[in-house]
Amino acid sequence: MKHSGSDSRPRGVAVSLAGLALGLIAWQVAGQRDPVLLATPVRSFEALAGMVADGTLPAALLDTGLLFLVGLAAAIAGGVGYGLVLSRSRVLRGSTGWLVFALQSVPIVALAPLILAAFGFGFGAKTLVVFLSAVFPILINTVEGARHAPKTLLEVAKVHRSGEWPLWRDVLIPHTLPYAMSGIRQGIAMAFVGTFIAEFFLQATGIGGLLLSASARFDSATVLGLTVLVSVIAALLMGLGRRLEKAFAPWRQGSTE
Amino acid sequence: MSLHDRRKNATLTSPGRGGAAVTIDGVTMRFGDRVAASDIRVDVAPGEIVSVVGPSGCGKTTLLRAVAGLLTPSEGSVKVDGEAVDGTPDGVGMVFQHFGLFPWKTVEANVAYPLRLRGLPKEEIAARTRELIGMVGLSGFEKSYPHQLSGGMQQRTGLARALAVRPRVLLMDEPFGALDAQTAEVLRFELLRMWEERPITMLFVTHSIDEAVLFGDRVVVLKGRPGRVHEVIDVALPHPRDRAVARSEAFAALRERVWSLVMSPDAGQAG
Repeated sequence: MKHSGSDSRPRGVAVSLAGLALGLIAWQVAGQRDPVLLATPVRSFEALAGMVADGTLPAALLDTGLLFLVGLAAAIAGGVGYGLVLSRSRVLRGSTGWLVFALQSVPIVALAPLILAAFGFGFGAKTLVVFLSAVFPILINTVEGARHAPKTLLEVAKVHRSGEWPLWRDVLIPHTLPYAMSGIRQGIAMAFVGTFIAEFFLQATGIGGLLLSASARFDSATVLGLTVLVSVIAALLMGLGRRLEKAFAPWRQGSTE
Repeated sequence: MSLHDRRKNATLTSPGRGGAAVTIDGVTMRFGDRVAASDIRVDVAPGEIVSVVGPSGCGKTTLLRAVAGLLTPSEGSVKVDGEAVDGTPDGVGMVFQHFGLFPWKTVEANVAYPLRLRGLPKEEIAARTRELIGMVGLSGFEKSYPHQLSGGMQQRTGLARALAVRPRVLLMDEPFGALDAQTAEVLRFELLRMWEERPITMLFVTHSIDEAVLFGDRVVVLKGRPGRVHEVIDVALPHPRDRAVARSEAFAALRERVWSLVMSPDAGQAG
């Protein structure tokens, strides 16, 4: 296992670096031919550096980051918590289960202006948009995991006369955690999208706000620079999500071999 | 502790054996319209091993779950030492066909599980866990996760966990059914040796007729749908039940008898 890992990893990194270099070159060449629509990477980088120097970028990053984190944290707490409760309560499952699936299919983009208007364009309303974007994959994965807790293990708990809390501690939570983590990984991506939706509507703030105002000014250097920055952050977050998913289920490692 | 009193009690019926008496009294198991077992009556004396065999679907596993308190009989009752079973009684251990180990717990944590649930002091849990793991021959594997172990080692862990409750009754649900033939053979004789050292009551559900005869003081043959007690056979083989016993002619004869009972067409179905 270790061997193939150390063999394929540098090669994978090399391939993606080469691809990245090719992309940058193509971008630079294209940008030099049409500098108004498509700023070159060099100019985009300068635009980013300028925004770091005058403090707008760090401030915007902080804004966006805070919105993302608070919304995601709320979605994790709500999704995992309610998911576990739902899995143990037949009454709740029957009465609200269908609602969860119905709400899940509602596109948050369409609702975002309404939510922002109803809750006042402030941080709270924006957080709600992020929360709603991220909560469903987390909730649904958690419910799926908890409901498929192996029957034998539930019997083992019963034979040992486990109480309700030990049952959660020893069986339900550890079994559900990897499922919840898959949900959280998807939730991270959704929260990311949700963050920008929240920032784009009306009271534009954070990175989303910078992007909007730059594109309104036809400042393609800033738009492209920010876009690349955002994709890099997104890629890093997804990597972090996968790491987390693995770290929370050490007993699964190698179990597929 | 109470095992001593039980031993004293036990001397009335079978000298030197511990464990609880199990009374299965007219138990019928119904799931909706389906009847899985009908009017089962079996008395297990303290320290006795009763094997239960029968074709698939005869309700033997269902019956075991009723004794474990996992299922409630639709009719009749199960008593352990005279007390009606309502939830798993104290001192009843169970070994599962597919081990029933927590994949997220190490061997140590799996074995310690019943002790932790009882809220014993940490040092006592550690000491008893170490002793149990030694008893089943898993010393050195305390920190391994189940997926890192062979099937045989996983079932040793399952056995150690069942023994952790200092059981009066051990319920065996086809404990060696998921293991390869050699591993199963080794574990059988090890379990028998452990039982000889400290005999306790055992209800042993199995597919294997060899296993039923090897372990049982009596073999209950269930047949039909719903399953009923077709025949109860006394196994007058000597103790300890070791490999020599398994090779004896008496063993072969009993084995044949149980085999023909299990394989014969369902005569008792009408009654």
